[in-house]
Amino acid sequence: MKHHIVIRIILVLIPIIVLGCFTYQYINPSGELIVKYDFCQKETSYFSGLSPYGRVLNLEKSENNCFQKMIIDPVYFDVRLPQTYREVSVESVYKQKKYDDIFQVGVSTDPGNWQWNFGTQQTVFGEYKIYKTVNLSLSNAVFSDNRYRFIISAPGLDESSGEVEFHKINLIFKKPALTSHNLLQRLKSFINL
Amino acid sequence: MKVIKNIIYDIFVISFLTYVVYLALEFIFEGFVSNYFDLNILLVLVIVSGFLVLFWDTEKNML
Repeated sequence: MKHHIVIRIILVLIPIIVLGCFTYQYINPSGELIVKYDFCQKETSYFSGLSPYGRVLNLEKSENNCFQKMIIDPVYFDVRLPQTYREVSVESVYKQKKYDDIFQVGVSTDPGNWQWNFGTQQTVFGEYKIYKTVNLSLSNAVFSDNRYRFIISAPGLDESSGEVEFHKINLIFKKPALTSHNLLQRLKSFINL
Repeated sequence: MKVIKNIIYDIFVISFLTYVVYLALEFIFEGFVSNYFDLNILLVLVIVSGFLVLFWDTEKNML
């Protein structure tokens, strides 16, 4: 009987503790959220995957590496988040074939008028792959249905018959950490007021 | 045997209530649960434990 009560208490505590963990993750007091996408699965809970199909080809796998080719620009991806953020760093690892220009990454600021915010970017050319980091402000970005919409624009990609082969896209969302001073503001952001 | 039956009954009740609460939170705050956990796993636990509870209760009534 005593053991049964102990087991019952444990069974009740498990979902309560897990709920506490979910709440902590959802509120994200540190103000930093890292969303990683390695192209080994079509989409994740945060990342929608690249679309539309036709401009990007099927996901491909070689040894321990997954990738997806973009052949026509532009392509889009959505990131679903619990709350708004102030800025984002988009880090991408890719290869380019028959295409010499540098593509751009932007976030939607006015979908009705086709407005995108393209931030500052830094590109490092490695031996086999290219590493790009784009810093974007999200202050004017549209946060609709808990989603930010991003664009990858590579003008002239289809005309040059080139392709951009994406291997990784990591997004680091940032906002000030939760303190007693910004608690109310964060609460508004949390319930999307 | 009675202890095991009671534990399974507890698992059914707690997992069912947890499922309902988590599902409601998921509807209100999209991604609250699904960003970190697949609710279908909990649903399987509810169905399996519920089936066992039902099976044992039916067996008891038949006897």
